[in-house]
Amino acid sequence: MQFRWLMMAGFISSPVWAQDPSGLKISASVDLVGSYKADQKSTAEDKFAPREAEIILTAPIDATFDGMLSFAAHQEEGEAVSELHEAYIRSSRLIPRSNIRAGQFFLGLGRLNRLHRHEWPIIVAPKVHEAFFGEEGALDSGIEYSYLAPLPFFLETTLGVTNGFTYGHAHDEGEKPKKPTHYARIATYFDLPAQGGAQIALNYLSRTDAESTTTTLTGLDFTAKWREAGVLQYLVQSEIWHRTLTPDGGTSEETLGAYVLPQYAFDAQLSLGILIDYLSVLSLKDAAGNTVDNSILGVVPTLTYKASEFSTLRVAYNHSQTQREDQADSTEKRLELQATFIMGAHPAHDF
Amino acid sequence: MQKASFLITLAVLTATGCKKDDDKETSLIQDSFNNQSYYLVEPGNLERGPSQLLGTGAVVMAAPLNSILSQDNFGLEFTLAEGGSLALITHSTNGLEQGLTVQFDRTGTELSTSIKADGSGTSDHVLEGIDASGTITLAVDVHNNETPAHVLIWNAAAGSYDEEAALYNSERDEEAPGQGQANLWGLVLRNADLKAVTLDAAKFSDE
Repeated sequence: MQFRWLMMAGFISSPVWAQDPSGLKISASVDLVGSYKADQKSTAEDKFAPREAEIILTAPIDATFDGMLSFAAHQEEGEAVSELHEAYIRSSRLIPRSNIRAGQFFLGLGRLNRLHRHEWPIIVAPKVHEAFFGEEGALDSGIEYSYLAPLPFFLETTLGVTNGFTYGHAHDEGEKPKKPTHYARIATYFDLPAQGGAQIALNYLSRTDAESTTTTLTGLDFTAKWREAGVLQYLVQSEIWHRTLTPDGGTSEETLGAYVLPQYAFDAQLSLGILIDYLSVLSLKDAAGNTVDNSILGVVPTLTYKASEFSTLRVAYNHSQTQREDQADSTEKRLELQATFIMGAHPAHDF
Repeated sequence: MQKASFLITLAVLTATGCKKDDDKETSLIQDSFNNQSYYLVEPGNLERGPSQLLGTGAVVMAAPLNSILSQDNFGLEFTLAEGGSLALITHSTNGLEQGLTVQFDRTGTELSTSIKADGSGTSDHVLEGIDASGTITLAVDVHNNETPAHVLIWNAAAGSYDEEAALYNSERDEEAPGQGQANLWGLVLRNADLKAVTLDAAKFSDE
């Protein structure tokens, strides 16, 4: 059981990864997506194009440390722009029961933010993830420490501090924040009937930017899996996040968002999931101070074909409805396509 | 069991997160323009009609933007007297404070713009191809979800809304000095004649 928990925490890599523990591993991943209007009012671009291409290099540096370097090219205004994605040094051997990494990385928070986009079980980020972490995820430079508590059950605590000069979408290097981005995640794992397992975690993030606006996120992520003969038969993935945005001397804005994704596999290759997605600004008020009820609700059935762990094809129907009590409802309907593939060995991820 | 604990956690998060302030009373004067309700912040000498705001004064629109971190497009149709100005203030309080200001000033036939936020501002930038002595129709994108805010201004008559077509692009011409800090918006007129104003989804997305 303890061994299983260690695997869950990523302290031990996958068999593919472990086959060549002393050498440099190079892999490339390509993420192609298309978005098409499903009705005339849709704002979909009716275009299929590479969203991202990534080169990943990983290797043990010495007996103590591993290194990770990745470059990603993504489309920006019709041009492929290449940038440093992740670059960090990490060790699970420096401190007992601990995993430490320093450099630039996706913050170890939530579920989707800890995975590269081409590894998501959906094509487009849920609204809450896009609103709170960006279309891809929150990426920054700093240090992150995880500790697996010596308890009879799995309990992993992750603490991180990053520069916080920018957060989310930014086009410059930002300014020195009043308080850097700091975050924590406490995760536990428990068995489920029928040989299932679930991980549930509480999350917290806060930063105060150069303009003294404080952002605080609290959230819960939940992932449950049932495997049969190595095939992921059932998946239930969900995140709930609450954000408080407090401008200096201003009124706080409270936003709540959540998604849940149940997914069922018909066989080893074909699976169907339905993303249900919700976001609301709880504190939205008009100029007279009256609360304005509002929400965005999305439903995204997604059919996935995985020929292997290295190639995935997806098709999804994305239906979202925006409601605000002082405006007419609006609906967005679009068809989404995705093809991803990985060339070379790819590092394993935890549960 | 898992479902129950999940729902309990959701309820706790919601209960702790949904702190509701009492709605504030307002003593502002309400009216409507282009079928949009607004409140008078500074009466000045504004002549107010259902399809015109004329003169000098300030109004805040009743309906809020979707969020402090929203990105929106504001359509403006107006004329300016010589030396007059029109300021679009977004992501502000209901007193038009703490917002991001996009100001248009007329000097002869030239129309210049400047952006203010957080107590500082950009220099004046002349919008090429606009005859300030006639009716001016502009589309203004304010992306307050970026740091600093991203502002793009187009000649709406041209109908093209990419970065190349922008008369002003804060990422190309001069960076905005900050962001707005709230979720209301309004207009400040100085010897101006506002004929139409619209609020729509942002015309440009650089994600």
